[in-house]
Amino acid sequence: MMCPQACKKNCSQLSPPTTGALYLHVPLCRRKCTYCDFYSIPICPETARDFVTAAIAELDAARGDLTVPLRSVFVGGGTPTAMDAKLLEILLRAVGPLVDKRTEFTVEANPGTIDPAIAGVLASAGVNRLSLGVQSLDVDELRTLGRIHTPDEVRRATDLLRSSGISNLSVDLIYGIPGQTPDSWRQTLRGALELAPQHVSCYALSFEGGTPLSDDLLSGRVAEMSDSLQKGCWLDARRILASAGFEHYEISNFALAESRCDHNITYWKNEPYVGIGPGAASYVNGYRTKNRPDLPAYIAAALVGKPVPCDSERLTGRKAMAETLMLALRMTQGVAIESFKRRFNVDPLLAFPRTFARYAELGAIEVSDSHVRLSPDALFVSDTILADILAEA
Amino acid sequence: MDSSRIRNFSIIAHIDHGKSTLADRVLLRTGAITRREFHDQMLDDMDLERERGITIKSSAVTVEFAYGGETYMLNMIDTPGHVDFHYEVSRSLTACEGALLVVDAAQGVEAQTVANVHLAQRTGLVLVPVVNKIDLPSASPEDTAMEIEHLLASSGQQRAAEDCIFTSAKSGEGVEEMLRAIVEQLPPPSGDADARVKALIFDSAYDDYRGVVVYVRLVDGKLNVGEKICMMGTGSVYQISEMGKFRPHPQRVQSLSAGEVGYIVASIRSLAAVHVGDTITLVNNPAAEALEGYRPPKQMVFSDFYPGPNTQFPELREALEKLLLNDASLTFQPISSEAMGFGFRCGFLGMLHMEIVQERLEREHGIEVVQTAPTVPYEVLLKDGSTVEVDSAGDLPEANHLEEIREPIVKVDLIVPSDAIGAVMQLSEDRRATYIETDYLSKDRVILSYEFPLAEIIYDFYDKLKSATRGYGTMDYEISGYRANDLVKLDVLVNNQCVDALSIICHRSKADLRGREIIRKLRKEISRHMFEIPLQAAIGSRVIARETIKALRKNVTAKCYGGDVTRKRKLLEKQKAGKKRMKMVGNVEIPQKAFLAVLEGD
Ligand SMILES: Nc1nc2c(ncn2[C@@H]2O[C@H](COP(=O)(O)OP(=O)(O)O)[C@@H](O)[C@H]2O)c(=O)[nH]1
Ligand code: SF4
Repeated sequence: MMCPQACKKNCSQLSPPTTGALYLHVPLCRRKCTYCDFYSIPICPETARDFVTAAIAELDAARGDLTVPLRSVFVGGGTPTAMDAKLLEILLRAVGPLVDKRTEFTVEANPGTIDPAIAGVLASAGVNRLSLGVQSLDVDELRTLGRIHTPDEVRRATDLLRSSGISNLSVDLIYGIPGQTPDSWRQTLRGALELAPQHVSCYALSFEGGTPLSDDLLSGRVAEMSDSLQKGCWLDARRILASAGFEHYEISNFALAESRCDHNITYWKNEPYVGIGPGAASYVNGYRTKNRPDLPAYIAAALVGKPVPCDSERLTGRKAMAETLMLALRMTQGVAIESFKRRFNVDPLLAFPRTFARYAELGAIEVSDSHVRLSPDALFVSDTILADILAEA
Repeated sequence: MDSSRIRNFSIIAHIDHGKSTLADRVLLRTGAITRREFHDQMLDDMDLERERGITIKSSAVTVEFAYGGETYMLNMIDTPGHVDFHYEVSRSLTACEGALLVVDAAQGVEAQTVANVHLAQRTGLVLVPVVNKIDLPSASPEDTAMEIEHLLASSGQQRAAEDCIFTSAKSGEGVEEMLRAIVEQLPPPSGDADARVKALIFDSAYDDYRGVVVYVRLVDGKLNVGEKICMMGTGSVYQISEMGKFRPHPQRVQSLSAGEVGYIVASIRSLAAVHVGDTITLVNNPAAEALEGYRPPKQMVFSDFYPGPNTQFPELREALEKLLLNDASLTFQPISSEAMGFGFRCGFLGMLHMEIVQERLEREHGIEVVQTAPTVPYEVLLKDGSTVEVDSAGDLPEANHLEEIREPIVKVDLIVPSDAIGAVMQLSEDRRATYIETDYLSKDRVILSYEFPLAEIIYDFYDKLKSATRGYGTMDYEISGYRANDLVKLDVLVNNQCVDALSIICHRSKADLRGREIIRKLRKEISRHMFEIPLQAAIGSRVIARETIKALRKNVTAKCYGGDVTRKRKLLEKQKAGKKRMKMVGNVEIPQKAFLAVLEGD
């Protein structure tokens, strides 16, 4: 379904929009990584320029949906820092009027793209959090992933960022890489801690259909790490990061005190956000809208002031409840019973009695006075439970 | 009309040999339909019927045919085309004096041809052999005629190959000759219009406006609108509100007399109240005895239907009751199983019938069921001398009460290429068949006759036959009785709980093998859970096979990227899709496919 931008606004009379989160998708990369199925295409100067112009136009059009100053901005991709420093600056400056000092302003960066010019632009545009795509600190594993950077570049990049005044760092790591061993994973974890980040995300590698890495898997050129070893990696992450003072607050996310990623928490709490850029998703006034992942079409529309091509759906009733649980149960604290009740007028346990009773009996669901959550062990098989909740909707 | 100018006939043929197309040709030639209306497969074509506002299928059509200065009334009676409906076919044939035996000139005689000939012969019908599709380049009409001659000779009917009528239903060639042969060769009905009324019910249909429409052949006497009738088998009484004939549009008549074929409407609300084969007579002046050959519908395949996760038990009951309105052969009764909860034991004429019912529940009523593997009915002789019928392995009495278990036996005709005889014999032996005889239809095709336990052929035997014969083999079967065998009950334990719905009855010699096979298949069909699941197969307390489904270690979406919640939700919904037909037993999800895993074959 084609969706004119207007439909995001249609029902705004009902409840005043308090959309405090903005996501900006930069669909450009130097080179495609072997496992990546995010929407991004190889960067070239003209497209980058047109993209920035188009994104600023889309942002202008969406201005009315946003409550300023924003609580969080996340510029992701793709590789925002693959752009030329000038262009990045133009893009970030467009966000300037929407943020203040308290805004969590994150930019995602590839360690291979940080140079003094980029670091300077980030700092001067008010970016106060950097999410660094480290993935691994093992040369061979990085090669398997097709990353453009080396472990040394990671250290150089963090030094540079710190010396430019960006002190709040988050590090993304991947386990389950073909060839990776539990030992090399633990080394990556420890190495990552030496970078002194405030936040660490540990993602299990997933083989997405159509990527070169999944082709290699199908043809037997690489092997998948067994589920038990992957679970071992996840447990290692929990243990090693916990002893370094990190709180495990979502399936894949760990943070020092006061350093959780507010932007991602918006998603998990199923609160509204605006997404800008091709392939970006928005959640405004109950509508989930996703821009088509098609940069040329995006540019063509935005440059002449037309709504960018997108698809949209609106969930209501039990489906919306199930979706809320699907997101909230990813967090270790689970879903807050009172806020769920306020939103849907029903206790989550009563809304999905079959699934909750069944998994509570197995010890996979834990209920306190204020929250319903997955037990720590159940987090790693959470999709089984979440799928049952959706099926009960 | 004078009954000497009536001819009642059926067209019998193996599927796809051209029965429907020939029937359309008859309608066209006799002016019952116009050329514009002429339409391939008109008798079966639901859309066409709906378009014309005929909401009931025409299983008997009356046409007029002028020949030799006289006008003849031809009643063409349709027969169901599947082995599950053998009894129904035999009742339709009983309403006739003769039949056109149609054989495809390119395919030759096939299993249903043989089965139909046997049935027709037992019913005492005169057969007019017809070789159809002579226009096909691959047709060999003479060879086909020879096969027919051979087949009829071995079934006691003397017909020379030259007696065959060669037709092309496609071009119309030979149809005139075929119609003449009907008049010349088939005898007129012999009933007595002045005797007490006996009318044979050979079919029935449900019409939203009129209720049940009963198809009858008047054997003796005369029926008038308004008369009170009685069904002799069931004893129920009705008043005729309408009678008529399909030509092919329904046309009312005031009366029907001996020899004629037509329909009766009498405020009958459910098809279950009308039994094919039953005799209608008058309440005031009843016939002394009913027509021969009636038997109440006999279900030969049973399966338990339990509501799926999104269906409530009362919804399932309601849907089954609605189906019963226009499916007289279905039976069901409530049951409860410790493992499965409440459900219905459903009885069917055969596997096809079962599939039709399951599909109709889903399509017409939006009801998803989890069904147990189909089973045949067993006769069980107890130590105390009494006999009980058991239509589910779970209901089998304890072994120490059992004297013997008898299983239904069927006579099966397999028509196969001669070079596949070895493979088919091996297959039959594996299925505990008893060989009866071989009959060469021609130098490269044979009829192999066997007796099989019904349980051995209801499921995948036909597929196996097809692959053993490169697709050429055909089969037909008929119930021949019950026989005691060394049968045992095999139980399946999932997570240490005996799941009665997974129990089967099988031959002792096969039990170990079957047990291992079932457990191996279950391990594949039941997905990993958050805990380890032991699986066991046991006879009594003796465990004969065991395996374990390991606990699920990982099922997690690590990253929920850039707020694309919809994508994540759809992925999770996909995980669950296709599991709509599954049952929770204890804490284990058993999907529909697992219940069928207890059936033989892969
Ligand atoms: N070439 C040719 N095709 C025929 C002839 N009669 C029937 N058919 C085709 O054979 C197929 C099966 O015919 P149908 O009447 O449906 O067979 P039924 O299953 O016996 O009712 C259809 O595709 C018909 O069009 C014929 O005489 N010649
Ligand atoms: S840098 Fe990130 S977005 Fe770009 S190809 Fe690699 S994984 Fe994908």
